[in-house]
Amino acid sequence: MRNLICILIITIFFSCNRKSGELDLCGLGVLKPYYLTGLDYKGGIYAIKEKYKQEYIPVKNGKNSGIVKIRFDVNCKGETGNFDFETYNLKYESTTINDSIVNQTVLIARKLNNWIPGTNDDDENINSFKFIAVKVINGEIKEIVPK
Amino acid sequence: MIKWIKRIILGLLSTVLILILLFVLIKPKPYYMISYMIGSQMQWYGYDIEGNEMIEKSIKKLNNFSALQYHSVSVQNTKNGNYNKAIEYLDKASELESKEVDGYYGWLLLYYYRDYEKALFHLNRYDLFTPDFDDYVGDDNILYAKALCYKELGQYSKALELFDKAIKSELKERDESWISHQVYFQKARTLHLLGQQKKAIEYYDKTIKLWDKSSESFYYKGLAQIEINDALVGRKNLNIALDLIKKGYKTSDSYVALFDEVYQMEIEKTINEL
Repeated sequence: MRNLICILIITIFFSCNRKSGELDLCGLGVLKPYYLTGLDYKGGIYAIKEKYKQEYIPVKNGKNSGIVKIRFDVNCKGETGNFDFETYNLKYESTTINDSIVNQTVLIARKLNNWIPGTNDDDENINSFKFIAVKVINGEIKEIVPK
Repeated sequence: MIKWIKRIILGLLSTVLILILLFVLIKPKPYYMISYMIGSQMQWYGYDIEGNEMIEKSIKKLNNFSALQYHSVSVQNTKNGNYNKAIEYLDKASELESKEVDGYYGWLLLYYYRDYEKALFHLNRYDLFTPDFDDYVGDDNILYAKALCYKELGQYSKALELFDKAIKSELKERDESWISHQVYFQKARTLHLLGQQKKAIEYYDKTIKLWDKSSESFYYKGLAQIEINDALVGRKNLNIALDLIKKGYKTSDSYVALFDEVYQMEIEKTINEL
């Protein structure tokens, strides 16, 4: 019952404070999804892929195929934090994959520092959350989505 | 009089409160329908865990969850990167009504998940429902979408065969000026990947004829020319591509990265490395 009321309130106001954790979120700490704020990266997905190309070292052993989804927050200044991840196999089922792959992909995501903050209707910079999914096959990065 | 008004108002309020309590405690079917709708809205605003929990409970209680409902839950999970949930729900939708779902599923796997083999499975099944008609998936002719899958799998001959079929199919209904320049561009890219630079240039030119602001066509045409030792003209085309992209001209999509989409940084890097 209490959950339902909380959820209703969240839905009605479309916003809710979240723990800022390691990142200093702007304003009241409200986070909106990347697809509502227009959050972007300087150079687009090309620049993100280049960063991974430069820094990722292929992993030749262990469970080395799957998808690492890295979710994080980007505040109104373009700073990132609150990184979290999930891993899937190539059939999109939750699973674990080689730690080295996970650690590397998350670490590189942490180093992405050219985020262009999302904006609201008044064109003010706001906090957003975003994810990138890195598809790894036989230890090598094959794809990074979404754009 | 005022006493009676107070009694009526209190009576009404109590009834409403009791009804709400009964609704929440007994949880009839409409409760789970509302719960599903609220959960969907919460997902849209990024509250994945809470939204998914509500939706999952609703699915368990509502036995007749439709393909459309599974489909829409899947869309939001894809947007939030919950691939396990997104695919689980889309598989259920596809099992229930493959005719309605497979076109979208194939398109999604091609552009969003970049899972070409699975995309082909769904595109082929979708195509079989209407063997005499070339369907569209997203904005793409299905033959073109299938050709893209084969191209990305490195099966270039099969891809070229399907690009040609897609062009032929488009020309059945309209003249060349109505064909998406992307079809010619992707055929050019495939020829280019096969090492047939001269033929590829011919198709890059066809693309440019359809849209003279196609920075990607100038870029790859420039590269092909440099590869066949026509460096001077090649460089010129790379510069045209850079100029166009700086002015905002390039083929792109709001939701997904296109295949062989070019970026200003990429063109600048290529020019600097020449």
